[in-house]
Amino acid sequence: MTHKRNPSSDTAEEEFRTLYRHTARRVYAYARRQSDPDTAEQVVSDTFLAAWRHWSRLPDPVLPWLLLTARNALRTQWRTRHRQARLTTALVFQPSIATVPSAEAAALSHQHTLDAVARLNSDDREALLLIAWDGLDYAEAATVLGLSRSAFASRLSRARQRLDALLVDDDHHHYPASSAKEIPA
Amino acid sequence: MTTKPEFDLRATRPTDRTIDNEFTPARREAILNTVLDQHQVTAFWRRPGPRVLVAAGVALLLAGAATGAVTALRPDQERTPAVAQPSAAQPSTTQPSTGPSDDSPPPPVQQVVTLEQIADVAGQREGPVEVGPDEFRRIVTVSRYSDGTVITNESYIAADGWTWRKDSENGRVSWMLYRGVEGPLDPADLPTDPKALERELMKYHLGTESDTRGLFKLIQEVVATELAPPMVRAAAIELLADLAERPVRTIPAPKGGGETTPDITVVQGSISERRAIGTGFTDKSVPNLRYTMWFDVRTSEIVRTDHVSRDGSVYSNEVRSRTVVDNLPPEFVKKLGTERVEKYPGKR
Repeated sequence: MTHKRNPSSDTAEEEFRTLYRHTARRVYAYARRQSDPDTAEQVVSDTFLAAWRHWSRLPDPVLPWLLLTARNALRTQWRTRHRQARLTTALVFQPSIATVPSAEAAALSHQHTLDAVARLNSDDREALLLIAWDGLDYAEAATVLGLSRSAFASRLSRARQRLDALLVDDDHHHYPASSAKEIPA
Repeated sequence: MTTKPEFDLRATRPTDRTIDNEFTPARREAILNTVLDQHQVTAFWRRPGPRVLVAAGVALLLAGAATGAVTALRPDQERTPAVAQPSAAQPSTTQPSTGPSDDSPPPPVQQVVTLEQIADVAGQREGPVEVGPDEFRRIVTVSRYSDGTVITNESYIAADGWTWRKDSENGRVSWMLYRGVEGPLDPADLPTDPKALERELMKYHLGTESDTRGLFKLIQEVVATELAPPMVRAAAIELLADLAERPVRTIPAPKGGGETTPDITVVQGSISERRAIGTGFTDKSVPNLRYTMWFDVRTSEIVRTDHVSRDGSVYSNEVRSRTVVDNLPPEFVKKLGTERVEKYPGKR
């Protein structure tokens, strides 16, 4: 999504509100998969405060800039707290089952994939999720990670291979014959 | 390699509804309002130049005449901000570098770089150098004094700020191990909004010198430390840019009688082939006195600081190297150990 940033103070605030409402969830989800809820909220606040301060200079599209800023804000939070919060399963690894016809089978498959993703190293995981969850293209994802496009493509390729290997190795453990299984909330 | 894992991964992306269960619409709105409230302060603080102020004033008066109401201008809008002038004293420099010294792409080539642009760079970067929990930031600096003394400082700074340091002067070596945050200021806890940062820094201002000089020195502490988060550094540099635009006035000296005319100026230059922008504090009521911080325009890092005292004596400290290493050198471990206990073993 692109935004035309009008320097007029009257419309700028309205445009900013629109940008925020369209992208705040995305920034939160990005931060949340690397931190706890409180940290993720702080990252959202820091990110959009920076965006507001730089309003007239924001690039189009703006999402990579927001995610890069969020990434920096996360590292600030980690340095401040002298730790990196471990990934949790509270939100980010819960499968979406709302509209899939065979919800149970889909949920099992999704959980299988998510379990494998959780076992990847953080670099591999971030490369995959920037593409798959954040919807960035290679150039945009490379910007967020501070890499060249070719370096990012290499990282993504290796990440896919490792994920593929994990899924193939685990396949026979995650699809038992019986289908009845409770999906955690 | 297959594309199936990525296809599956896209299907597992948290939906808006899932996110809303945790990051509720009410919380999102609350954060938005907080951001906009902070910006109201920031907008007030970011005063436009005189031409824009005049145009805005005319527009307000015309609008007031049309509607029958007149909106009074805020008092600050009636002042004409000082325009930053280049410092008369030029640093001893070499020709600007034609290429970056690291792998990051250089900013667009421009005739003049502003502090606001430096602040943007500072806010975008992952700190001056990214340091993991088991790594150290290695900084090598050279300090020079007007009596000819030269001291080379080699420091290893851990992510928590603890610093292992070796100073070498004419063959004499001194060793130190200390927690990196010295004094009451902890950069990690400072606000990331420039106006809020100014209010916070003023709490540490002792009042024995002008507010401008006090702020300049406190900002120098913030931007020169290797421990300040990127957003805090960005806010500090933006605050510096604002100080450089404030009117220059002669006021009674807070202590010792007499007068003080504090001024902050901005100058373009280069330091050891790195393009730099220098921000200098002077007091027009005090001859010779000058403090200058030089920012690398590519990285926003401080590359050199210069002090000229009122008696004319000169001190400079230049950063020669910034890298990240995996462990302490054996010599440092032997002299200082690895336990985080302050040590000042003295000179050898």
